[in-house]
Amino acid sequence: MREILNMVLVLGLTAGVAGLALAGVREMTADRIAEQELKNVKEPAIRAIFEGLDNDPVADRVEIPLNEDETLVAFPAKQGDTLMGVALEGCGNGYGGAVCVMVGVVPDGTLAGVGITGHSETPGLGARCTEDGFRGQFVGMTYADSVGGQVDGITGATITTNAVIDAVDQATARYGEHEAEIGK
Amino acid sequence: MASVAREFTKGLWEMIPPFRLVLGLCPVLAVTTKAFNGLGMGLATTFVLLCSNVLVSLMRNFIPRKVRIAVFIVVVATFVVITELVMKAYFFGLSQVLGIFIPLIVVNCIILGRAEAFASKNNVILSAADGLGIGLGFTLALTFLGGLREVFGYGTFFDCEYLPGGIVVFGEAFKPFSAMVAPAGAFVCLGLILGAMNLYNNWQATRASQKGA
Repeated sequence: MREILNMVLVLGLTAGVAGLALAGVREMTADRIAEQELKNVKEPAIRAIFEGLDNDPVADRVEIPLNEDETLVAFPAKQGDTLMGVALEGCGNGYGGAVCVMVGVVPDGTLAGVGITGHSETPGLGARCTEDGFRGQFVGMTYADSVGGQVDGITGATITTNAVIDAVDQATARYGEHEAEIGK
Repeated sequence: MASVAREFTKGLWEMIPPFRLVLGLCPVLAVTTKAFNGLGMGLATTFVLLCSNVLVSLMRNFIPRKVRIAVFIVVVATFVVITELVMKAYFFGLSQVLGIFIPLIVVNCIILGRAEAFASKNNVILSAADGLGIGLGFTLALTFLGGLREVFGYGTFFDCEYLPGGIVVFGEAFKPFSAMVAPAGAFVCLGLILGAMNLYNNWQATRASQKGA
């Protein structure tokens, strides 16, 4: 009995201390990690979608709280004073986890393009969603309804294709809901 | 104090992983496509190995034998996650390159192996020396292996897309051996280095015995 208690105590204490330490480190690094992701993943995706923008979309971003957990972040892309469009991120459920897509929305109702910002799909199948051949077809699509009917899927990766479509639809729907707040 | 130096230096040649201590081959084969990646992976592993060795050694008298592996894994996993978070926050590019192999340090058998075979039986100073030595040996080996594969596979040395300072070894006309950066190239290089080390050790042993005779 004593032995079992001792085992429970030691293992429990170790795990508890480890959990506390990790929570502390996470707390300290969370802001910096978010910043690094903005700079290294999201900004290049935005720049690839809106060629020729001359503002800093990350610095000009608009944050709109959706509910307690989620915040909609919109990155306006400008050329001089004219708004080229807005980039928003949407996510869908893929085969290996969330597929997150940066979607460039133009106020006239078309897409400026999409960029995959995060996925864990199968290499050679779902991971081909990052290729230009798939991504490129979104340029100029109208998004009033779901873009689903306009997309040529990736062979052998229907789930990934649907995830990308869901992600784009999510981003455009949110843009539609909050257009007034983002545009100002 | 001589033994501290001995525990440290044994990791650099006598027991250098993965050539002498043939453990932890998964990250060795997967990330050493470039010297810089090898260096990053090696340093991350060294940090985890040093910290876990010190902590396991400090706790060695309190850990009940029956749950020791579970406790070791908790300790190792904690340091791995700390490494991962810090790397993401300050060396984002490197963390993108190493990707899944950072979390996989948890199951790198070198670390658990040193905790079980060394740190749980020796004092803190010796364990720290052991961890540092083995870790640096691993770093050297990974950098060397990465460098070798990079030179033949890409024609560059210490090239990294996020940092300047890469050296172009061969000129424009160089046609890279793409097999060297594929996993098969890692096996071939590892085998050749292992063979060369054995050859050298055998040669030394024969020379020593001839001297004695």
